[in-house]
Amino acid sequence: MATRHDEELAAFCAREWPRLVGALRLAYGDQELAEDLAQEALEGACRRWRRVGAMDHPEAWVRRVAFNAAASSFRRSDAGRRAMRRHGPDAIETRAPDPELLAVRDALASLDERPRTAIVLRYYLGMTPAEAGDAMGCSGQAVRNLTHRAIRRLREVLGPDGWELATMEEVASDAY
Amino acid sequence: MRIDLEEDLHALAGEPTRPFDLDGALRRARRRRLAVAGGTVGGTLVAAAVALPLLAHGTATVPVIDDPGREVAEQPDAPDAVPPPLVGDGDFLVRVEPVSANVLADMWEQVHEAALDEVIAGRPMPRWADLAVDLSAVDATFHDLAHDWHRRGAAAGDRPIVHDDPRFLLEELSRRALAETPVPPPTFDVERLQGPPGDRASAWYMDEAVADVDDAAVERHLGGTVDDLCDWLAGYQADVEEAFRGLQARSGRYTTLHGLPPQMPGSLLSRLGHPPFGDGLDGWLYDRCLPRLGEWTPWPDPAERDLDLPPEPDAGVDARPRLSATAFEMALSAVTDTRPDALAEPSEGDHLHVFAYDDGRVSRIPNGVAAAVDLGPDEYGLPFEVFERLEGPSQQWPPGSAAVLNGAGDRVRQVVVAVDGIVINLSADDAGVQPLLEDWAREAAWELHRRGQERTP
Repeated sequence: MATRHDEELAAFCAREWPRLVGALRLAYGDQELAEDLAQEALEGACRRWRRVGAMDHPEAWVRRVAFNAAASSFRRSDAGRRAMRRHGPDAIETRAPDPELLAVRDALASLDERPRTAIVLRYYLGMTPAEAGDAMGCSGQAVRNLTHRAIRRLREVLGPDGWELATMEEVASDAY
Repeated sequence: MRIDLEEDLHALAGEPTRPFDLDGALRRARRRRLAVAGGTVGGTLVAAAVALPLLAHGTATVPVIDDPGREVAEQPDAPDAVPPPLVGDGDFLVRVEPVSANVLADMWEQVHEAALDEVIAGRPMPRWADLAVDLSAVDATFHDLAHDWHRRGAAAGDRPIVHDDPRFLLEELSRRALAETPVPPPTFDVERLQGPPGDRASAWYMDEAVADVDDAAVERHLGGTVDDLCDWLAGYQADVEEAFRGLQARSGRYTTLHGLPPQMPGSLLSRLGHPPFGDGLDGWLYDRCLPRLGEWTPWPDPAERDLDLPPEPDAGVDARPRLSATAFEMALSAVTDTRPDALAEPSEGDHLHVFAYDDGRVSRIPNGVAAAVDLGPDEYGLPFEVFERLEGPSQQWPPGSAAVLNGAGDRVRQVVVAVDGIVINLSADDAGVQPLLEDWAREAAWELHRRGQERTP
């Protein structure tokens, strides 16, 4: 019989799984890797749920673990990483090949890993710069800078027009 | 074109192709944990590798590393020193990625440094029991594992690493003392000591030339008399020894142990940039200089060795000298009131099965094995009669129990005893330790047996 503890954990995993997989997929462009990393991170939460579940933001812990696990994974498979750099994260595939969406995908893929991760954490997972910095192991200001440069790069690739206003206003405030 | 990053990213992220495996995660999360510690790469990893599948009801194929510490020195990239992937599919899951022996050595270097830092800082030595490594989710090279140990240990506020082998401490303290001791000005011609460029590849550090070594040859090469060299070495040695004593005093441990082994002359001379000598020449110099270096007892009597160890929680129960009582006691405290002496004469119904492998490898652990023995090279292995006395009528051993005995090293003998998830690696030198090993092995086996009987319906 499932305890309340188990139910909380199950609900947490169900909630975080798709978001975590999506974030990792966007950041690293590999569906299998994203799912493996998300599984690893959530398994960590399962092992330590008493502690993690008591945190104010257990999802932040899991995301940090997932991105740390990604770093470890790349360290272990440096050859794979080099290949990924050579070829770019073009492995991101969309199930709805909308031309505009594909353009965004390609522009995103043209970013270096860290600015791309910053973009994903902020605009996909909705993290604040400070939260994203915590997940990436850097300061919130560093995330702001990464985001600012990333958006500038995306605008170069996608063109300056048509950007949703709130995004631009937020980025504009990310001073160096 | 309209660009809304949030919306676009959500569209690009898509959906997972599979659901989160909650059941599997929970199953793995509930696996038992294994505490592993060891004095050498071989001791620890052999213990872990053998114990894990044993504990997981023991049907896995188990690769065992044959004393990789030795292989690191002798065969840096020996294929045999590389453990193949290992997967145990019972209660435990371990995947060991192939790594080079050098990586293993690097891992242990970090591990040992961490322990030594604690000691030199005057903090209590990390104990076996402080190390609780969850190997159930290991999916990394050992190198990563070492980092993980540090990270997790630090995060948990625990001291991550364990090593209270006095031999290791002495060697490490000696090494540090040597590194920290300024080289005194030599009383001989350094330029000539270092030799002309062509001479660096000369016979001076090739063993073939050793037969020709005599005082005159050394003096010609070093640009000073042998007496000068020996005086310099003795003075330098004294400085190193003083530094060693300082480190030892700061550690607050092992102060009654006999101290620093004299540094080999080659080690000292290398601080001046001299190319390495061959063993023979180094040995010749060592012999020549030894009278100047004072009397040195290589290793204390076992009875003296634990005089400075902290009191054990249950000290007095058994007054036998021991190296590392903490975890051993933890694992075997229940044994004292059982029948530690009965093993020599198994009675009907008492079953103990020991598998001994004298080639340093265990290729398969049969289901239900009570104990596995990795003796390592014959010439270094524990006397076989120890295990012959352990061996009794063959019978499947209850799942969940394991004992691993591992012998390795030319001067260090080890017994690795795994008791229901606690892997203990005890190191001992040659002198007078065999009876202890025998007792410990016997007790461990009986403890396993007792626990196994308790579990058997």
